[in-house]
Amino acid sequence: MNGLESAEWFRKTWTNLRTEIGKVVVGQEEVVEGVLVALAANGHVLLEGMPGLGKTLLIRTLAQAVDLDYSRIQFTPDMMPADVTGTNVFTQSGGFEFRKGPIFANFVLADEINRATPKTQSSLLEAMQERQVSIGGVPHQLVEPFMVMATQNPVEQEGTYPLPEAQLDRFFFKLIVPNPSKAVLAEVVNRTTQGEMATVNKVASADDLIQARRITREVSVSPEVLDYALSMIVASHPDSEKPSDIAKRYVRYGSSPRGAQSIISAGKVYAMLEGRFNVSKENIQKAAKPVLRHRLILNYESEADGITADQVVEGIVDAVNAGDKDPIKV
Amino acid sequence: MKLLQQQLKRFGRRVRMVRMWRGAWIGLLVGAVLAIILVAADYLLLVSFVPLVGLILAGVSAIVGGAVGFFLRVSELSVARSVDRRAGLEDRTSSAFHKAESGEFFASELGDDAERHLGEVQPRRLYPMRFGSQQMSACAALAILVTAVYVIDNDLLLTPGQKVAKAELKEATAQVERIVRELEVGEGAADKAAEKKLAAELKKFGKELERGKLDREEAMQKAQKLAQDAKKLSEQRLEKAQEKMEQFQAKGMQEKFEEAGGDLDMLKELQLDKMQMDTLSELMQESGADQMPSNQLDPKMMKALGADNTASEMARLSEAQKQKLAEQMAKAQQDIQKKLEQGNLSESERKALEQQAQTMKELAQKMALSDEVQKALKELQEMKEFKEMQELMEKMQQAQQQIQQGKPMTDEQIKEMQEQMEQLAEQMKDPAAKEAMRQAMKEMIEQMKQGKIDVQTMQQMMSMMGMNSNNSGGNNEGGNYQGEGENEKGDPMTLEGKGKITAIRGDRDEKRGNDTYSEIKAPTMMGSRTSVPYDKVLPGYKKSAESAVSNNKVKGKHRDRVREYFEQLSGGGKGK
Repeated sequence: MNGLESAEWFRKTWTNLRTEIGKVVVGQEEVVEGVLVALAANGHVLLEGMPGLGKTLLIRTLAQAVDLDYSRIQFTPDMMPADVTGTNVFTQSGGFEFRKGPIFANFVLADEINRATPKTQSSLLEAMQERQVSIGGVPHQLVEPFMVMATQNPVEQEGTYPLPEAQLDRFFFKLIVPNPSKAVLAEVVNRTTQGEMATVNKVASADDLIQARRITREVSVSPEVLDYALSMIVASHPDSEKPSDIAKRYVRYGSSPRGAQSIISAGKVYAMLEGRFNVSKENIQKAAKPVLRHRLILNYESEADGITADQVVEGIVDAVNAGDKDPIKV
Repeated sequence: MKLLQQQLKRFGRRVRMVRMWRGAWIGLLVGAVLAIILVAADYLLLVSFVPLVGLILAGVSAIVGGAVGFFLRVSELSVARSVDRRAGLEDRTSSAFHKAESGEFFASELGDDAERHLGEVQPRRLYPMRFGSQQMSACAALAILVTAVYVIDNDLLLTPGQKVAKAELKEATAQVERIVRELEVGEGAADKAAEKKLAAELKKFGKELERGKLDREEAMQKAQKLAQDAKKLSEQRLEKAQEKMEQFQAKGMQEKFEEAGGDLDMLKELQLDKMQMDTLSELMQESGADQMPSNQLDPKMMKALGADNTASEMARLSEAQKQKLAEQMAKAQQDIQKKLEQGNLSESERKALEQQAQTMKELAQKMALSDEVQKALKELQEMKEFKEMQELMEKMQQAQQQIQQGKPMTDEQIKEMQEQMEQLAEQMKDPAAKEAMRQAMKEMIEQMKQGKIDVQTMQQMMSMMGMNSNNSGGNNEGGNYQGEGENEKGDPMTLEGKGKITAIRGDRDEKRGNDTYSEIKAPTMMGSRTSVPYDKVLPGYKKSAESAVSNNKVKGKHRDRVREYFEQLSGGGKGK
């Protein structure tokens, strides 16, 4: 396939995936798009929202659409790391045998991840970054494609353990699942209470996903756009050379370098989805919130002023846009 | 990529055009505002500025602004980025600019995509030539400027009477400006600061006249004051230049004297002290030598050679006079000898007689010495170069008088004088002195040329405005005296000026030690008549008097009278 055909194929595949998911998941367009973007960019997604908003359904549907292994881990406070990764068990033959945990699947749904203790949460770290787990000093490779989709309830709820920063940084996107509107709710009710449930067809394979990830990596990024994206990352740090005013006021720690990687990767996928061969500044702006919102560690002042991470990201984007002027003034 | 570059060039051209448009308006705005400020400053007499030049300034600024806008560099990358923003191309163009030839997977698709999108955009849509606030401001500034220039230069709003008055004032202003121009042209002036000040004052005066900011009375007073300043400056310049010339001429004269075999040291030795002078006077009278004709020597020549009056007196003695004096001296010496031999003298009487004898002895020696000097002096007076020098000096004096009388020097006169001065310079042996001489004569001629400007033109101007100078009108013929012999013509009493004769009476300042007072009645030297005309010595005396007044050597109550006296003498002598 040449460049044009590759791009066409990518768009067609992702449109099909979107259509299949849309058969089951009503509304939540942004969340669905975010998950698909993370899928193409080889990233993991953290979904945050109240229970019953269709987070699990979304991920299960996605797994069905690509016909890949899917496992669901329901995190609870008493869960142990071995429950996630697997463990060596003593067999009747007298030796130890490694029993794979639910992490050994293409799609892992880590449901209510913030209900588990930090120790258990950390068991996902190696899997998410290195795509392997080490049990008893022996590394075990995970299958490709591999994607973790975690859900969490808002941290303010009781019986939750906030995810550590290192864990959060490993999520490509953090998507906020909003409450459905009345119209969407009516559609949900209609679809689930009458007639037969829609069936999801397989529209892509594991190879297709790997191929799609390869294509998106080829999208061009001009020096200006790269500079724009990096300016955003730099502006998120209150102690950087050019911090934004809002970051100086409300941010304790800015985005890690993974944020820069993620924002560019996300921009590439957005560009492909829009039928372009280059990343635009608009793509970067669009990726800013899902990429940065969980990577910014806000200070107490933000809490006191009721400033959310999304508002800070908006402020950073505005600050960077203000510095990005037309080079020809006529 | 080629197509992309062509398309970017298309946009680049448009950007230059729009920049030219904008630059021209900004230039016009800046130029017009600057011109308005200058016109206003000119109206308030803070600076001198021709209003019409303001319009030219605005026009030139517009052209310069347009040119700067057009020729300012526009990079293709800037154009690409700008087009992306303005046309909403989502960084297609700039990405293609960087990556189209990078060999990346989507490179060619990226280039094609960018070219296709660029092809759909019209440069004039992205970069329109707007008529916005800058343009409006420039138009407003230009309108204000045109109105200001129109109001200043236009007579339409004036009544016929005002028009006539304005025309008169304009004519007067033109006269003043002519003076200023000539003052500004003059280079190498001795007192540049004073000249500049006067030129600035004249300029201001001209503007005030033009703007009608002065009434007739004020204008007259100011014109009179400026005329006086100009006259004073002119005189000072001439005097300074003349002094310089005289110094160089003296040097030339000394060289020639030595060439003729003269010895300047010997000439100095001819100087007589008071006692010798008194003795000589007595001997002259007693012998009757004072009634005999003495040798004619040019006093200027003697002065140039560094001889004082007493040395000149000795050098002037003729052979016949010397003989008479020698006889008388021998007789007197015999008498002294007899008296000394009688022996019935007091000590003081003896001493006085011995001193007299010694003085006579010295006089005899100096008379012998004078022979050699006289020979060289005679030879010098006979030299062609000396005569040329004399002639030149006379010409310069004539030129000066001519200028003072309001008759400007003709070009031929100036040329002739210049040639003669060149010859004089050539005759000097020392190259440095030769060059200095040339400089001095240049300055002199320049000053002479300029000297006519202040007095004559100012007078014309004053008379044009009905301001006749009250202290002028005297006939100057009496002052134009250069002859030898009788001095009656040059006597201030006989000059036909309107000055009054004022006697100066006063008390000597007792605190200032011993004064020597010598009264010299014409003829100034024994045995000869003065050959210096009255009007030639007056400036020197006047200067000394002014110096005495300014150094408080003259008592306060007499200062004004001294000044008045010399002012009147100057006025009468010059025929003003």
